[in-house]
Amino acid sequence: MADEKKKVKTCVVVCGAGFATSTVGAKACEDACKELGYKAKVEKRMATAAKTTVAQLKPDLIVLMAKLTIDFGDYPVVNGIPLITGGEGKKKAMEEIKEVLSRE
Amino acid sequence: MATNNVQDPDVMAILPESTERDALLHEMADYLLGKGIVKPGYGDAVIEREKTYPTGIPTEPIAVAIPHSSRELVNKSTILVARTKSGVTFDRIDDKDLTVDVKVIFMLAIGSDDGEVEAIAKVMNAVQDEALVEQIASSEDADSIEKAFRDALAVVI
Repeated sequence: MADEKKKVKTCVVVCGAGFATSTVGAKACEDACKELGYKAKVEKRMATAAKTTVAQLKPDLIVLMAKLTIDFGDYPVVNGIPLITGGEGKKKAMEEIKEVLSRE
Repeated sequence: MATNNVQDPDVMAILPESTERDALLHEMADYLLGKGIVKPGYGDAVIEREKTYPTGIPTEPIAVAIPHSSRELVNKSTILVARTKSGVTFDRIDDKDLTVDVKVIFMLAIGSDDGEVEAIAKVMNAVQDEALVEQIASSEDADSIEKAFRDALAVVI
């Protein structure tokens, strides 16, 4: 009976130009979804378009790849910059992404 | 005989003379302009963006930067790698109130859209590759830098 189809998790990745650093964040979202058994729907957006996109897509997760002070209300936000800077922070950011995506 | 992804960006390398960020970004953009890779104004656009969204990355042991701008001013997707001996001060990607002394700079002149996600992911992986960055930082000529980065793109992922 249960869900035969994989559940879709929507992620919005935000950066300054919408293509370079956000690609790193998008890859992390895809990898995390794969690991957790979800189907990933990942959208990359420039900071200027982020709020509109979030309102439209109602994502399960927002990953910020630039230091931004946008208020996304109740949507869960993860700071994705450590994914670029590496080290321990990278692992921690990945864990945070997985934690948020695991929420029902 | 491995056929490379046709969408892989081209790779170029220079040993710039500039020791200050904006001059360096202009020098790099002018080089790309001379090759017909970018349109006039690319350098200014990159500098403008760098002020709002800085790209200095405090990677260990050698810090890097990934200056770039929006796609409109790019004719042909190319990564221009520059190695500076003295280091150039960039603001940090994770906190623009902090700075980082950068030795290797990857200018990401990316022209097209989502078709290049994999290519960009590969570039970003290479940028995070400590051994590769160290190799580039200690290189004495542009050709060997270009080759090292090209080889890295061919194998990662």
